[in-house]
Amino acid sequence: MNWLIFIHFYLCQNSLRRWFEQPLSLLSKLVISGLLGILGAFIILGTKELGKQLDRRLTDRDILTCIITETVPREEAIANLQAGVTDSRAWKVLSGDVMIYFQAAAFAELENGMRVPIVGVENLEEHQMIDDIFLLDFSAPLDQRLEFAIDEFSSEAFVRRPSNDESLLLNQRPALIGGIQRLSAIFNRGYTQSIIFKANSLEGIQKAHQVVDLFSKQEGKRIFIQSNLQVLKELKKIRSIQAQALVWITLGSAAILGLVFGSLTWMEFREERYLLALIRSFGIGSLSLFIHALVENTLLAIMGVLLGFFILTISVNFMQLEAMNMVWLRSASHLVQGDGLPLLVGAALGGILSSIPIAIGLRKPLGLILT
Amino acid sequence: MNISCKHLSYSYPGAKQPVFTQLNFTFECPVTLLRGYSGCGKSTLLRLAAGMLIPTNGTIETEGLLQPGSKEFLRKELSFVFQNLNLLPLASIERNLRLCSQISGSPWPVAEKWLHVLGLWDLRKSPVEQLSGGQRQRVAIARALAKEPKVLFLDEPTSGLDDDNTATIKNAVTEFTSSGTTICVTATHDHRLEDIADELVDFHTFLSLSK
Repeated sequence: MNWLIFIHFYLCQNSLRRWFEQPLSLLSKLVISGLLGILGAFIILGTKELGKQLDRRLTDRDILTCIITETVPREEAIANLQAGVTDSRAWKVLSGDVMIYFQAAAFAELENGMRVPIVGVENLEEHQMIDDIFLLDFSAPLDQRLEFAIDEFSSEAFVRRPSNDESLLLNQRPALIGGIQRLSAIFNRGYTQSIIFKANSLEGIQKAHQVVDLFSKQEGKRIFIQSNLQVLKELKKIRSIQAQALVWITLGSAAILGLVFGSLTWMEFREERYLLALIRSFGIGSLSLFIHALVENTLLAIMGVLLGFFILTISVNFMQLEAMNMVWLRSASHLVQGDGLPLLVGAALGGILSSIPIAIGLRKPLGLILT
Repeated sequence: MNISCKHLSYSYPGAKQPVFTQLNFTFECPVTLLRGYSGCGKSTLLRLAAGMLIPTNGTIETEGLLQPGSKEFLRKELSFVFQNLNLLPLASIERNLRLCSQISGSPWPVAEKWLHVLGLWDLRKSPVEQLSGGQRQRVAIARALAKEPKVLFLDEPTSGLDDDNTATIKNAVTEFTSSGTTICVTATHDHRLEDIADELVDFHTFLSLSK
């Protein structure tokens, strides 16, 4: 196999000579792929920044959380509480975190005269509560005991801070909270059931909507859902467009590099075909020669793109990014570590495409080339 | 051992007239010399017989040889010296010969012998692109012989060469074919080579008669 090494060594030597004798061809290849690399990097980094901003907004707004509200009238409430069963179990089948609260159709009056809503929970363990009554307050001193009255009944409640879910439900207002069994006399008058559902995905939210529709249409329940389904659908569409953009960047760069490199390679091949035919006449397979051309073109395309990344990374250090509102370009240094992968794949594809003319040329009978 | 061309026809792509049609020819003598004017089809016949062109019609059959045009045939059994020599210009004489020896699997001392016979030993380290026309012609012959081929095709091996260079090449070819186990075909219009031929074919006349 020594001869195969020699042939490839010779072809490398020949490529170097060609680059030295015709530097414009080499420079054209590097400059075009480099410029494509810079342009593609702008698009990729911009798209990535947009994705990051969306992610941040999603996190800030708890966008996968929805609140389902069902109003249960007195007659139904009494039946539910007597049987000790509410339809809260139906919601547990949804994939995600479900917390259920019951809001009584009555208010409690605190010793300072303030009227606060009464909230009940069915499963105390789930809510990490003991069987007592608490005042959820955002500002009152903790562990303070405050007297309250509900109609004729009066007692004391410990102050504690509301959990995140409770805050979401109460909308910054204080409330009294306890087990619904302990407060059954009040909940017997009717209540509003609020289900805070934190879905794992858009599909989870869609399923919750389906369940609500089912309860509303088939069982005639007075049930409503508040969610960001529409926004989520639009976000999903944006993400899909981003993914498509990356595919098009890859294919577009491959097509551009394939066409430009292909035409330059074809011009070079017309000069090199005697040499390649001579080597074939020694009994060296066309595949071996094609692989050499393929590797040369692919390496040049990738090197050009990497050069573009390098130039962009260096240039970023000298640019007033804040003034230009392009701070996101700082992540240009991550291009080589993975962000620029679609472009590198595109360049590799372009290198492969540009070698097709060589493959066609190598099929020509030797006797038509060698004289 | 022979190469038989049966009912061979060939037209170059885009040409209106075929080079020849229904040609029957067998290469079997140690040294055959195809003589004829330029363009009569001598070189085309050699390339067809070597499997480097695909005939429009007809077949090429071999006896005691591999299929012409196959990789193994090109690597081990055929040496073809083209009119334009087609050496590797960036490599030295030695590199050119070593490559062919390695590909064909023939021992290096054989190549050394031909370098001596063809007067190239002292120049063996020189790059081919620095050589004169005559020297290049001798390198092409040395490279062809270093493979110890079973079939040796020479296309105008002495065109434009002086008598000294021609004599050196004639000696080398005569020495190589002396064992009688090689098919050597020379296509030329150089009368100086006629005395090395066992069979002399006036190709133009042959074509006329075979019509």
